[in-house]
Amino acid sequence: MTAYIIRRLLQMIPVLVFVSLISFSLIFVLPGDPALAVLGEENARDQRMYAQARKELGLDRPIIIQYMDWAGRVLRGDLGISTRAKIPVTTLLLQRIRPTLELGILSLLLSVAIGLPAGIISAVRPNSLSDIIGTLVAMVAACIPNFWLGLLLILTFGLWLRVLPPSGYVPIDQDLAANLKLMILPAITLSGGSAAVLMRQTRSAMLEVLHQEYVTTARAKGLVERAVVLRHALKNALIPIVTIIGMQVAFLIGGAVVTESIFSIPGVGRLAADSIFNRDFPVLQAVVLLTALAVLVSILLTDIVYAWLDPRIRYS
Amino acid sequence: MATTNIPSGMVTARPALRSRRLPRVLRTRLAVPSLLWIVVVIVSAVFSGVLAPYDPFRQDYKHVLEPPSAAHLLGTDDIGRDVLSRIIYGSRVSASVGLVAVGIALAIGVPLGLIAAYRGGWLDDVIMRVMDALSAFPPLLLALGITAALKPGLLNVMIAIGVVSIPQFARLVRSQALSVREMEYVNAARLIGVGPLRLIALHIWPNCTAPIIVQASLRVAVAIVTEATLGFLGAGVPLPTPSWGSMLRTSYQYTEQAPWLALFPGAAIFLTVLAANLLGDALRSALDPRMRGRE
Repeated sequence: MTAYIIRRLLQMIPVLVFVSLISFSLIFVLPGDPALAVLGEENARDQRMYAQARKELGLDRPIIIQYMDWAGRVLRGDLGISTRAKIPVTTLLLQRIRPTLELGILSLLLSVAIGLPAGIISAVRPNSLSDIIGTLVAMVAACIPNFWLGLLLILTFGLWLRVLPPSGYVPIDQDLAANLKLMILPAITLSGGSAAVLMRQTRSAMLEVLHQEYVTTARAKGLVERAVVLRHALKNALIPIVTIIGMQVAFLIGGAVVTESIFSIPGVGRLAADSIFNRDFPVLQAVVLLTALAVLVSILLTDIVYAWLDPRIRYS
Repeated sequence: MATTNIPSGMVTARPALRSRRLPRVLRTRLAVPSLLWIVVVIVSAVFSGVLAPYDPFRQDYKHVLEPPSAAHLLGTDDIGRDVLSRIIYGSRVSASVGLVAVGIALAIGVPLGLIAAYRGGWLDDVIMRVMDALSAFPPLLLALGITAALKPGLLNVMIAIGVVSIPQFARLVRSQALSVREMEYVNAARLIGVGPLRLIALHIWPNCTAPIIVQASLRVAVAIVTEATLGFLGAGVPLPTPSWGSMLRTSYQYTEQAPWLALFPGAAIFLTVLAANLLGDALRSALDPRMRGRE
């Protein structure tokens, strides 16, 4: 197992290099000349001062050197200064990470809690009424744009029925009840799509497994259906399901940008959305780079779980 | 380590192909309505000028935020523009972004996948690691980053969404081409002296197209949602061009006062995405020879 993990870590290095190159090239082509920003319009007209500023900022050096310099700073946790808040981007991100983590974890739990059982129920009786209804709901949930789902939920539960607050955020350590009340609608909004994907994946993985001979054997030896489905079939169907759960991380981070904007949650996603209007590109860049890293880590963790579940992968 | 001897076929064995996808009823009954809706969207995109009852840009401050009525079937927005007309014109943005973005992804992803599969070795490694890196970025965030870098505009939105979709096509084409490459007839063609370009274009690629067509129709749906999301976040096609996403952005300020502003453009996006997905599923059933005759 250790050998497998080391091998996977080594395989990740080239991907990491390309991820950093893509992020760097985005910074490179982003509008706004840093030298101009430092000097201001007036002074920048002076060619000598402009050249001097570019030299001080290191913009006159070869691109490769600039990249190495940037990568070195990123590795030390220096992601630049937010042009809007005038504080280091790292500090800003740390201030905003908690609501996003909470929203992400709640949504992932919710989508597993809905998608997994729904997929199993559908697979046990394919083409039955419950399968058709389950699949229809999943289809709708997978295709509904999450910003529209969010608006509809605010409209229905926040404004018409008035059972839940339409938007806002209270820190979890300040008032747990108020926090959860405010998080219900955003968590549903964010988890809808991944619950649907998970349901469909569970359904097809279970269907495949349920047709295999060892399941027939388990039935033939007189096990109750419940034990056959949950203990024998589900265990083997879990492998593709775990992969899908791992892949949802990228999806959830992307969705957080929209969800946090709709529900006024002061998280990293909202920060990214706001940075577009404020033209706060260092922040946008940092979020883009860090989310890619988070996705890579989640893929790695998924692969490790996968190998742990199925020894054949470890040794191949 | 006896486990290594398990034939690889066992890991991917798929005995229950016909029941793996949608329940039969949904697969067969929903394909035609989906196709019809896609036709409606394309027709309204092409003939917006003829079909729209009003000029989508005309502001009418006497009729602001009016609910649906005989004069304005889907109501009016915050500056008195006709919502139906804006939805009809908005289909232009959605349809063109959906088609062009997927076109860009195909034009770049397919050759990359074919080259990676045909050449193999270090070139394959480099191409696929770049694809891995590209797909590590959450698509929406990468698209946001690219549109920010390129400045907002219809073409740049198309480019951003297209770039984000490249890895899917490159991977799919590569895996298809890898198996086709090993087939007898490809070997035969190579032996009689067919050059690599001709071999890829005329012998390998035509046998990879079926799953690509399915994937393309599914990616059109993703492209439409991504464009609408960019529009909703204010990073899409600049105003006042009507687009479904930016209409929802406006509606956000009037959710309680004028819910129809949120309902109709959202429904247009939802139905189009649903239809493209269902059509993709139907195409998959039709194009996959293993599924034929097993319904």
